[in-house]
Amino acid sequence: MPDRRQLLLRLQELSFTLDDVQLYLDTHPRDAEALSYFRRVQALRGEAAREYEREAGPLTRETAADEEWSWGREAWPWEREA
Amino acid sequence: MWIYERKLQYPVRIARPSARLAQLIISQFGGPDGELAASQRYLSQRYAMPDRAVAGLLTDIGTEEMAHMEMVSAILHQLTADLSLEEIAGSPFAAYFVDHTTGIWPTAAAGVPFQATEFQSKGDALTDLAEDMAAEPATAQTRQNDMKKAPGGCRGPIGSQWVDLRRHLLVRSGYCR
Repeated sequence: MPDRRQLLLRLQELSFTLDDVQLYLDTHPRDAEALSYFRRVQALRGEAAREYEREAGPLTRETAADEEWSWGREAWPWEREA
Repeated sequence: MWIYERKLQYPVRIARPSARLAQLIISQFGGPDGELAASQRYLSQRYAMPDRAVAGLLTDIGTEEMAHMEMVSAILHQLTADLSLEEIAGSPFAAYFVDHTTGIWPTAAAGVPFQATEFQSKGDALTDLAEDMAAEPATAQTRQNDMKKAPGGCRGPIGSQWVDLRRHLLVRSGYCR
């Protein structure tokens, strides 16, 4: 079972890939290869996000309305690990 | 409109606090070539961009610069956490500490507060793009200057794995042919 840090790193890698390909697609909107790459990584990123959220709590407000409001429950991303 | 995603773009894990290094890295936040200026540069300029595709690019780059600003701020926050007063008093960070303690406040390393005059928004797409092209290598150079001062070297976001600026520049110049 991957730990929270590994799940986060996987999510960060896939998200970063999308950040980069997004900028490319902005100026190359008809590049079919780049488009299909984006869609492939997007699907993987969606899975990684759901897996991470199950372990570590909400990434956005979309998943914050749990039994209670969970936005302020976990460590913030800038906190130094003990 | 922006929606906050509760993660950094790249992990920040500072092993050892350093007031000295924080005093240098703060320029990446509020200095003339820092991420605050970068984000406001792109996000302000996009309104004058007549080409919708490039206006989208400016929006996306400006958004990513805000993510960079958050990483730099996290680095500063972690570098200054748990410092003793003795460590601070004997470092160049002492002058900042007197006004802000360890709060994150945008300023250049030499103490010049962040100023909007550090970027331009001219209402002319080509003038603005020319400024963007100059700003990107300036940021990279500041980062390299910081790396030379880091004790034991730096890995990760401050190193080569950060955004591949050259590739972004090629994308942009490719559009402007």
